[in-house]
Amino acid sequence: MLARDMSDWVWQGERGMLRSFDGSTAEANAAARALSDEVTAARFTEVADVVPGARTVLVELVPGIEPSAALVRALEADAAQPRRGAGRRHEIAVTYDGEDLAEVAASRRLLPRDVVELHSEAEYTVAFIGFQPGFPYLLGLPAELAVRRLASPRVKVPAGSVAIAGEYSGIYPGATPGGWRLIGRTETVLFDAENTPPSILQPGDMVRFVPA
Amino acid sequence: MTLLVMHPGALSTVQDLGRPGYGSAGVAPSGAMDPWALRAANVLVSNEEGAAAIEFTMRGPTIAFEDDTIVALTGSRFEVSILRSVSGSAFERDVDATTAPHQTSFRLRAGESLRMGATLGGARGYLAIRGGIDVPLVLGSRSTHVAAGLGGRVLSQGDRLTTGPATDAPLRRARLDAAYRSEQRLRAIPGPQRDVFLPGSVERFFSSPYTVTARSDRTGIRLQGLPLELGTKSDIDPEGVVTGALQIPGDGQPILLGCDRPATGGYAKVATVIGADMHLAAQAKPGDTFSFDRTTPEAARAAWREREDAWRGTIEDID
Repeated sequence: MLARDMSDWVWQGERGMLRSFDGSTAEANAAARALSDEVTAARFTEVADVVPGARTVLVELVPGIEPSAALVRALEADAAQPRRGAGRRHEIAVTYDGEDLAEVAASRRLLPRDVVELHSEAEYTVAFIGFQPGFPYLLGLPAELAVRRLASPRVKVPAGSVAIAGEYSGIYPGATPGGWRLIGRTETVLFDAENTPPSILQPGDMVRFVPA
Repeated sequence: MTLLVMHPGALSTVQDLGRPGYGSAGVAPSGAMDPWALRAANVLVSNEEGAAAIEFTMRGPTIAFEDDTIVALTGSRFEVSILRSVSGSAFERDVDATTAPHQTSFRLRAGESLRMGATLGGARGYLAIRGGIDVPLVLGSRSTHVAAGLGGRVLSQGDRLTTGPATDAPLRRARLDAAYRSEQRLRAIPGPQRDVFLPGSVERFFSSPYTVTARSDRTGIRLQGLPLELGTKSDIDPEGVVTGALQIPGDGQPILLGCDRPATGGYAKVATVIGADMHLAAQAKPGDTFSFDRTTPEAARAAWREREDAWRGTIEDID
């Protein structure tokens, strides 16, 4: 299904061209990833960066440079058909002993093992990588596991923490402050600046969590 | 050429012009908060404009040079003295702290140290050394992303740094206008989230001063003033953000995103400070104020080009 246009694109500063898509998060994100791939592949010389978000694509221009008519056309085009089956599949081993596991379970009237089962039986799509280097926003979290972020974020979340918040699951690749609920941890290294690309997970990839 | 960090100062990092192009991997560009000052420092010592240099904040580092070299200080003026170590005891060379060379290159002899004290102006100063700081390239840049611990180096006592090969290019002059004012006017482009703010709130944002708080760093400059009034919650679906964006979290107080910002953000943004004015914001200290003036994307890109041309026009070889 195609995402409907929410609007034209809008400026974020003089260099950011932000296109948004409407519809469910999954539909809008698929459209955003398709546009992001298209703009990246076109290698516009005036473009410094292309950043997919939950339901947006941010195209960042080289300082002082005007956008070409072709770039503007690409941003104004109807949502493209997302490529199917292009993403890679990953299995990530998780030890489900997160600090918030019991509280998440209690808040959803579940047992911790139900949380583990729900979380590890779902198949996730990498919606985008954001926040910190290599942090994946994964769509596909069962609705039973929708929990709010912590009111007051932790000062330091351990690297490798597997976490949930709202409709996303995510993994903290490095130790950073963070407000998501921690349910487990993984040894999988998600980000290595020596690799090309540096993030192991790419938007559109599929992820499954395997209890270790 | 080797240099030794005798004292790191408050926060001194290796920076170049950053690593744009990795936002889709969650990587912010980092790089000098005042890129013009970094470029100027490099030009003065005949480095490439984007060579790695040292950015220091509020209170500068003390650095010993083990070989003869040529350096330049730009950005805000700091207290500076040159120390000469003779058989273990330090003697100060006759340099008046307030008239130490600034915005011009000068020679240091092997064994001399450069001691930067407190700032005499804005928050950030830059030290370029002929040859540039040679730390490993990470994703195409030597910049330090402080929060993510990615690339570059946060200087600490006892660190040894080496420089790249020095060119024998002639030294140059370049002129940058003084950037620091405690009451700063910044041009900003409204948006992109307009409908989350109550009617009149964005207008009031553009007509009220905001104070820079002490909770400010390379990730973001946290401001305090008339809170933005949110009609709905401030959370939005996370989207790519740019340096200069003014995020509004739930308490309504703006955060001006710096070079070590997150790659994406989930807070509504009221406006974005234009690229041509971000070096002004980069020099702000706690207690200073910002006032925001509306401008357009077209005018902002023109302002960048104008500044770029004006700056290029001041560069000349010293013969």
